[in-house]
Amino acid sequence: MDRMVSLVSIEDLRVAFSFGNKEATVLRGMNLSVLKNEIHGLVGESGSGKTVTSTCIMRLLPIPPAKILSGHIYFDGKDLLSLSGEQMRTYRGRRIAMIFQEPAKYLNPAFKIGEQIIEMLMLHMKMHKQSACKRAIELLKLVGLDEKVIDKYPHELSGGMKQRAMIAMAISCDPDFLIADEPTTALDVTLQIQILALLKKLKDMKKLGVLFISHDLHLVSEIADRVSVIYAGRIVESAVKEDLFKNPLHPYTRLLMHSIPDAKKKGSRLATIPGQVPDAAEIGNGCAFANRCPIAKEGCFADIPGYVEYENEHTVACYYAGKIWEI
Amino acid sequence: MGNLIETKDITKIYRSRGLGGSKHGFKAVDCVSLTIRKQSIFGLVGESGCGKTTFGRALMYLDPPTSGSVVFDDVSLGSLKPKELRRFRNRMQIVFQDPNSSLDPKMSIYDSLSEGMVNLKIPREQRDRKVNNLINLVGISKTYLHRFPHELSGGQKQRIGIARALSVDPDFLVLDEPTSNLDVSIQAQIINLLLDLKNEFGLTYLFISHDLNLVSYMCDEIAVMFKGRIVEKAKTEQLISKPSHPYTQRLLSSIPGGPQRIGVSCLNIEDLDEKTIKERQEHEKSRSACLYYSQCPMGDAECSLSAPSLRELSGGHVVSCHKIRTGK
Repeated sequence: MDRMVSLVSIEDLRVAFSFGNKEATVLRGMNLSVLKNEIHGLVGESGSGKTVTSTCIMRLLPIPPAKILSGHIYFDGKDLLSLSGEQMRTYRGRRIAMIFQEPAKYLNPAFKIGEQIIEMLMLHMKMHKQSACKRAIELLKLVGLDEKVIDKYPHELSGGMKQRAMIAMAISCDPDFLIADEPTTALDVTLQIQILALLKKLKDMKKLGVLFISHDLHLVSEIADRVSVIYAGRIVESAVKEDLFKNPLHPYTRLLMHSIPDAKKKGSRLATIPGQVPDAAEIGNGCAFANRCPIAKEGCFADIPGYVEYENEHTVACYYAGKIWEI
Repeated sequence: MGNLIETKDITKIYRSRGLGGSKHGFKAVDCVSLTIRKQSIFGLVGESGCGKTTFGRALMYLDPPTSGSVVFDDVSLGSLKPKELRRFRNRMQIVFQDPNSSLDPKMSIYDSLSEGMVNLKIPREQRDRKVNNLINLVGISKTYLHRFPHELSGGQKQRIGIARALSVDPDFLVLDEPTSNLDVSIQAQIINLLLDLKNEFGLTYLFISHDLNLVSYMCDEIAVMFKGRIVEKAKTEQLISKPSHPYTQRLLSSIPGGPQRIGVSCLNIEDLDEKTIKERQEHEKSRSACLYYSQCPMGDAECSLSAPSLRELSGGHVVSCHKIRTGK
C-alpha cells in the first residue's frame, strides 16, 4: 500500500481503551488505504472497531480513556496523529468530513439548517455571510433539497431530508475525503437507495475519496469499489468488490456471505457462525476468529496470521485462505 | 392445511386528545383482511410507520382493533370476555423487536420464562421442567437461568424472548422484527432457530419486517403494506418474480444487492418532479384518491378520483391498483 497514491492510509494502528485497571485493545493493527475517487467499503459486525477507526481518523476519540498505542494515519502525506489540535482543526470539516448514522443526533436542534451550513463556510472558507448563503442554497439543491430548507429547523425535516442536509454540510467545504458511518441505517429501504445514489453522484462529481462504513454486505456491494472486512479490530480481507464477492478467501467473509438470507436461499439452511464476536479484552495472541472458525487448526490459536497478497491486490490474513469446506 | 387466522376489515384508529381529536383520529390500519394458513409463515412488509406493528398487536387483541373481526381457529376473539381472552392468549404469543426493552431488567431469566406459566396456574414442578427444556431448546446453558438480562448479549436475550413466547405452548407467534437489532451472524442463528422450532412444534408465524431479503427467504406468503393498507399480497415466488403494484416494484428495486436490482425497470420517486408531487399531495388530502397517488409514476385521473380495492390477478395474487389489468 503506497501512501503516495492513496489519499488516506492507515498503517498498523493500535488503539486501546482502559477502564479501571483493565485495558481492551479495540484496534489491533489496522491497515487500510483509500484512494482518490474511490468508495472504500468497511464491513464488520458491531463492536468490531468500525466507528473507532473513523473517529480516530477525525481525531475525535476521547483520550483518555482511549489510548493510541502505535500506528500512523497518513492523509495527503501528513501523519494526522502527529498534528496539534490547532492544526487538526484545519483538516477536520475542511478537508476531511463525516456523516453519521443518526442525522437527528448530529444536527443542532436550536439552529436552522442554513445557519449550520453557513457557519461552516464562514469558519473554514472565510466567506462573507451573503456569499455563504448563496453557496448554502447551491449545496442544498445539489443534494436534492428545496432551497426553502435553509430556513427550517432540523425537527421540521424527515429522516431522509435530515441525512441529505447532513451531506450538504459535509461537502460544503469541498473536502477531499468523506467518512460515511452507517449513513443509511436509520432510513427505510426506498430512501436508502436514494442516499446511496446521491453519495455516488457526489463522489463522481468531486472526485472524493469515501470511506463507507456499514454492517450490511449487500449495501456495500451496491456502492463500494473496494471492500475491506474487519473482524475484532483488524482487517481480515480486502479486495476489489467483484473479487471479494466472487471469491471470498477468508472463512469469516465466506460465512458472512452465506449467512445473509435472500430469496435464492429459500428452503436451504442459513450458514451460521457459532458463538459471538469476542470481547476486546479477551482476545489472545492468535487469530481472533479462531475460536469461531470451522477450519481453525492449532497454529491459528498460537500466532496471528500475516497478510498474504493474491492477484489484483486481494489481501487476506488467514493461514488457510481460500480453503473451501462444506458449509 | 386449513386457515388458522382470518381477519376481516381490521381497522385501528388512534384518537388524539383535544378539540376535534375524537373526530379526526389517525387510521393506523385500514380495512385489512388476511388469512393465515396453519403452519405457514406469513410475511408482512412495509416501511416504518406503515402500520405493521399495529396490525400485529390488533390481531392479538393486545390493542383491540377499532372495528373488524379476528377469527382464530373458529373462535372470534372480539366475542371473548377479557378473562377468557387472557386465557386464550396462551395460544398466541409475540416476540418483540428490541430484546433489551422486552425483558424485565429486575427479573431473572428463570422468572421471566416461568411468569406466563404462573399465570396459567401450572404447578411448580412442571414449570421447572418446562423452563429447563425451553432454555435447552433455544441453545442457552442452564447456568444462565439465575442471571439477569444485563448479563446476556443481544442474541441471547432474543433467544430468551423466543423461549418465553413458547413457554405456554402457543400455536401462533407474531414475530415483530425479531432480528432487526442483531448482527448478521447472530441473525442467521436466530432465523435458523425459528425455522427449527416451527418444524418441531408445527407453529404458525406472522413475520413482520422491513427487510425484504429476509422476508423472501423465510415466508410462504407476503403482504405488502402501505399507509395502513395492503397493496399487494401473493405467494413469495409470485411476488418476487412478478411484483405488480408500483410500490412493491419500488420496494423490490431498492433492496441492496437484491436480484430485482437488475432487470426490473427502476420506478423511482425521481420520475415525478416535486411540483407534481406537491399538487398531488394536496389533492390526496382533500379527496379519496389512491394512497400511493402522490408518488406513483403511473398515476392519472382515475387514481386521483377513487381508491382502488384489492382485486385478484391470478391464484392468490391480489393487488390494489387501477392500472393493472386483471385479464388473463
